[in-house]
Amino acid sequence: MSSQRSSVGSHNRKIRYRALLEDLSTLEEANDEQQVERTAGAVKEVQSLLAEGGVEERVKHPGEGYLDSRVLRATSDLALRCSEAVSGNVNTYDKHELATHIRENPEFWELVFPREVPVVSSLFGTFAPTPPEQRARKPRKRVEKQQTAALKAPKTVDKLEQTEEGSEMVSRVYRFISKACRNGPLSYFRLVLDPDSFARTVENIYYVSFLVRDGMVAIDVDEERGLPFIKPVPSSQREERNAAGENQFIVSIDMARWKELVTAFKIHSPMMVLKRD
Amino acid sequence: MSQKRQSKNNESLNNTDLKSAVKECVRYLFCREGSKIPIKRAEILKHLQSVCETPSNQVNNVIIEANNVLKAVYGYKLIQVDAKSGVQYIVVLNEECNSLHSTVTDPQQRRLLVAALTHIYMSGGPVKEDDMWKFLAEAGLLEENDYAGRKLLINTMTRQMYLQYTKVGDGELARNVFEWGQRAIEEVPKMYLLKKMADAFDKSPGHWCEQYKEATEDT
Repeated sequence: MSSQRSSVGSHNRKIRYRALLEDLSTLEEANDEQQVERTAGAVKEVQSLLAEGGVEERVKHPGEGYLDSRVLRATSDLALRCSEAVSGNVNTYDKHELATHIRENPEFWELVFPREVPVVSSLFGTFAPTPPEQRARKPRKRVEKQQTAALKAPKTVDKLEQTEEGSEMVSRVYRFISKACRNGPLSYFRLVLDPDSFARTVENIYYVSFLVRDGMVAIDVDEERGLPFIKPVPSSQREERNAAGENQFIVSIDMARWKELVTAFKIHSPMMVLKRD
Repeated sequence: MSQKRQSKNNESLNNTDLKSAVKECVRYLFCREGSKIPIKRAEILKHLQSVCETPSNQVNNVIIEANNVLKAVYGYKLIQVDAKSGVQYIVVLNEECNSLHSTVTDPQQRRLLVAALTHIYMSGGPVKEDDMWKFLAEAGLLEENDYAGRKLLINTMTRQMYLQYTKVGDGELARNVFEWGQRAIEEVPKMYLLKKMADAFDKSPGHWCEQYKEATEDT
């Protein structure tokens, strides 16, 4: 409670200090007598402010001490100026009188100082002060710049919108498989083998391998027949299968094996007929 | 033997070198003086080094010698001024002299300078800037708000060392004041101004006793 009171008191005192400072800074305009009186008044008030606060409070609020010193400084400055003015006042100089005289007799005050070096000017003067001849600036040689070749830079791809050529084919194969497998799993070899072209067979195997890797289709070996069968994997099961790590299978095929398989499966026409680019 | 002669030769060579350096220095000071802007020792040094290849340890001797020449031939006197930026010189007359009015100096500017110097002297101390502007306006020399004209006092005349323009106090109480500069102290005997005052107001110089005391102390 008491500390609160003290801070309120300090605040009030600071306001009074500031008012004093403000007052002192405008004192310049007042005449000398007023200046002396008001400066004295300010010093008295500061003293009373200081007494009011007491030592303990001053320790608590150093800002007060700062303001106090500023007021003191301002008053001492003013006192100095007042005393200067007083010694000046003793003399009988009247600046208004002098100013009027100068205004009325300007020639009288056009003095040459006794120890001033007279300005030296040459009898024949300098060269006529004509400005130097303006020389036309040499026009700058224009250098025809060669058109810079278009900068070669890799295309910046913002989004991988363009699907790769291969992936387009893969999705076609997937669509075909899912259509063909509506009535159950299909024999893998029946699907991929193309009796007319070994190359297309290899291609089919290639596409299917992607689907298997991505978990879109599954190839399981049928227990009864001992042959691999293919079936699409519904999206709900894909996660599971992926988690199990079952997304690899290895197929090796060569020309001889292809022929063998084609005759063994008695394939006369390719099952997968795709639009190929 | 031959060595001795050689060194003697060198000495005499040095002497002719120094003589021409003195001449060059006189010429330089003579030409530079007209602007009334103090001449820096460093500038003299640079000039002599580039023109006469004067060794820097000789420059002081050259300047002293040049001062003698200026005194003997032209009646000039070099005054050394120690500034923050190094030693500078101003050139004044060795003796008081009733010179003719110069055709080169602008009479308006001269009146402004005389009025300012007289006002400072007669006020008996540094004159506050505002007081100076009021006085000059009253004397019909400078319009109340002629800031370009004020610059003449604050910059040009201060640079020429006729006036000194300094800030006193700080914070809200800071003021700029005018005082006499070094050149004014050298060129203008206070008694001269006081006699002009006496002429103007038909009084004896002793009428302004404070100023009279100062003027007599001055001489």
